[in-house]
Amino acid sequence: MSLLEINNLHVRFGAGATAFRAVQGLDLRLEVGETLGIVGESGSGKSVAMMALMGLIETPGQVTAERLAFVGNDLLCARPAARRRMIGKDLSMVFQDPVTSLNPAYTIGSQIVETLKTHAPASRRAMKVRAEELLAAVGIPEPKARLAAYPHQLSGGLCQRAMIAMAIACEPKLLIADEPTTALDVTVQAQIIDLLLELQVRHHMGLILISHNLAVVSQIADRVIVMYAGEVVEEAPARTLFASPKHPYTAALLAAIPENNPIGAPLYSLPGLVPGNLERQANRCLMANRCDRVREECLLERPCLAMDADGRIVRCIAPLNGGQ
Amino acid sequence: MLSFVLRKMGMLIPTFLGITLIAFFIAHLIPGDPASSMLGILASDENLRLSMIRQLGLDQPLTVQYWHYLSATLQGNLGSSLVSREPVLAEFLRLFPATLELTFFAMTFALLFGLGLGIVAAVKRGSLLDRSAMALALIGYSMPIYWWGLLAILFFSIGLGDWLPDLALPVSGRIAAEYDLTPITGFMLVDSLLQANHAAFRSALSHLLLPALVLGTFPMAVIARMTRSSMLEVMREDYVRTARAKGLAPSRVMLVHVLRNALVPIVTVVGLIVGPLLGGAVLTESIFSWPGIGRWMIEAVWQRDYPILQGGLLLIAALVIFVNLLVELLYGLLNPRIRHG
Amino acid sequence: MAYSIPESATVENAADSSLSDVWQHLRHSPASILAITYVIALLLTALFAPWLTLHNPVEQFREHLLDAPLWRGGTLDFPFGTDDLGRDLLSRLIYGSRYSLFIGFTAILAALLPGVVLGMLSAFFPRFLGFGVMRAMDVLLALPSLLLTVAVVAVLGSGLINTIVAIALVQLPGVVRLTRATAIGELAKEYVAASRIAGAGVLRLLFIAVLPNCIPPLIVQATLGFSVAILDAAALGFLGLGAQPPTPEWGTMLASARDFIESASWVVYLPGLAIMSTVLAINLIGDGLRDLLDPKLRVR
Repeated sequence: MSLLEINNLHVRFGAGATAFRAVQGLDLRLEVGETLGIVGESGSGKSVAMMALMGLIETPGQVTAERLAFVGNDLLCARPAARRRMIGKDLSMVFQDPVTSLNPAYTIGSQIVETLKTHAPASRRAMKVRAEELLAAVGIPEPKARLAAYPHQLSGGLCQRAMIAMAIACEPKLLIADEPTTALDVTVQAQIIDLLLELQVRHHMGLILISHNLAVVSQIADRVIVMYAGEVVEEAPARTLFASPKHPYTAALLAAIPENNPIGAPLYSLPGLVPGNLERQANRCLMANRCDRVREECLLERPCLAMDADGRIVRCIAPLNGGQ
Repeated sequence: MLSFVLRKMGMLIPTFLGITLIAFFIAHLIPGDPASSMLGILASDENLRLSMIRQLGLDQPLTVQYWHYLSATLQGNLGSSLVSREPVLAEFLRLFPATLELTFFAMTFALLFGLGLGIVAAVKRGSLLDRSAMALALIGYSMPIYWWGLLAILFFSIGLGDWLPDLALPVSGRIAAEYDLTPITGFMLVDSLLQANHAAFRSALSHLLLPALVLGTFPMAVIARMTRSSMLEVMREDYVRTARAKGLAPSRVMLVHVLRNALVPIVTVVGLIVGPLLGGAVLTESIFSWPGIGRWMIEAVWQRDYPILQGGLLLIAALVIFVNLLVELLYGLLNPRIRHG
Repeated sequence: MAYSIPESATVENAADSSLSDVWQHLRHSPASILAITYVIALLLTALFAPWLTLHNPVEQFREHLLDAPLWRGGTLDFPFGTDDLGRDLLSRLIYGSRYSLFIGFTAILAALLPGVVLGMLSAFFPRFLGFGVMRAMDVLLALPSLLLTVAVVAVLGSGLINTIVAIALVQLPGVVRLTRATAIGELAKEYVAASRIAGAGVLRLLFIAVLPNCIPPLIVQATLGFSVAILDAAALGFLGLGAQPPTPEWGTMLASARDFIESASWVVYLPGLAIMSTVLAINLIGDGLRDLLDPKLRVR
């Protein structure tokens, strides 16, 4: 039994024909202890998909799927109370901006204890001790003192560690990290990623890392999914993906990394914009207007996500052949 | 925290001084000189008038007069009424409990129903409940208090009197005339309980209901609207998303995470409401013949009893400043960033 | 690449809504349309009052004291009935609208002009002028608005002009604070710093950069202040401190109506209804304007 199984996930905002398709037909599978990276730019639907999983999408958003299962438990038709028992305990999420993601009116100690009280209640003292342990486990110096600190008194990096502490408080089986380092200093970014990796190994957690930063993803992911305009366009083991991307979009993402560009020259960037609502309804390849390999067939039909001749999963009728 | 409190108190001093200036000038701006007002008929006697002027110190330069006024005020001497000859401060203290009781109940009503309506409207945003609540709030704060009071009398007293005479609410005074309570605290409800006079307590309560309802309507409407908008804003914040992601019950998310942060602007609004509340008290006391400082001040204006006007304004302004100080302190309590920053 | 600061700094206009945007917004709110229609109708009635009324509002018809209105068996002669001195209520209400609207407009203008100036000055010269002005406003704000108007009227005497002065004074701190806050916010923005570096003078900054951005919130403030002014003016009338009888001011009409609650209730609820519907309509318009012009202040 897989840790996570998502089949044909759709997330739409609004109703009827003009609804915005944030996620279109996402399939995803994650095994215990595996690290999955989801990359894509803003508007690709990567965050929305995971929030739909957590049940965080509110009206006018609508979530539909064929299957949404976590450790075999059906999340799709789960009653709200049943879902709430899993969220925050076995399945938790860490968000992008740690300082605003923590409640400014309460100390971080009380916010961690709140998670414990909800899912693993114990005596007040025991929970306080556990909170302190958690802060220490995420590498926060002087954890006891920090319990009484307010979010605005901590740096971004410390807040993010605190949020991670909160997320792993009940030893989750899966941790979703949505752009955990984007709002942080570069120096701190590496520390947080190392921390996530360390925790994952220690607790044998599944980890989903969402990022638009390929460098970060390449460091720790086993497998990577590339998303564009709500669709998965490529899926492959990390090393293979970065060595030889098959989808033009993946190639473009790799080409845009500063390290891959000659010094002094302008950075490579893909011309055009991410498809808006109207374009997403069209029956053609969503990358067609930005792709330099576009052909007539690309405009006739939306390509499916399929295995190509080399056994790679790509959504393109003319995938790249390694290194092009 | 202490330095925060001291800092806030320090900022009040210039404002308070400013108010004493205004109160001081009121006496001097009123047409007709104070000496004549005090002497009444005897003012035609020029010698008497001049000696009165000397006695009142009105021949001294303005700055000296102001100094005298300020020192007298700080010692608690606010002059005496021209009509009743009673010291202003004493009369104020005698009548103030009535107004305080009224405004306290009005404010309690406003907070309970305002917060309740606002929270419900925010949680059920867009529903019929939300729109009716906000329509009610809009009417509540567009209604002139004096008219609402008259209508309330029409419906709840006269109207009920025709149909359900037992439920008709009284509309005059604080308690039925037959009860003769010895004033201990000045608060009818408290005094009647202290003297174990339950009939008197019920009478006092029934007398309080209508005026408190009328006075509290405007603050309730403002609080309801503010609560709703504040909660809706907070609900969009990232930390509310985190709270949901922790698997907390929706009620806990609303009350512990959303409301707690939404309270900050609501508290500010509550502070700003004190002014209109006292102003409304003036009108409400007029309609319901409530013997408080509102009615006292209005009568003073009609009778040109300027010491009451002066002293009353000063005391009320001091009260408003004090309440605003409490609000600022409460604000600091609610919002840790203000305390530390 | 050479950077050049444009001759006229383009100011992003918070009120970028064109007329069609306004119409789109209104279409979805029948309440707003009703409110606007009501206000326009009221303005027209006030303007054409002499031609619309049947009788002189201060004329007393001795044989028709406390006549009932049409819906209580009255005649078409006095459709809304008469008051205790035999004056036609409908005419008095219509003329009353003149007073309320006039007081409202003039009081707001009287508050806006000095208020905006003071607010700007405190923003541009925060150290002494700004501090002084703000403390003065604090003092004005320490007094409950009604009591302040009462005090002013007590000092200056009752009557129309003094009512306007009193109400304008009460609105002043709000305008000053709002202007100052908006101005400070604008001054902190980068394009102002850029203009300053390019050598723009204070006056230029004032009129081209800061003032246009203060207008939207000021419009909202003015609209809501208008309704407060009407309420306050009527309150003063009710207390016998505003327009004096026989002036047909709505609040003054309510004052003399108290004694007739039981016998002739129309004398009570008609003037009050006039006040409330006008204030309600203006508040609705104010809310709508706020949604349009200053989304940060949204109540919706």
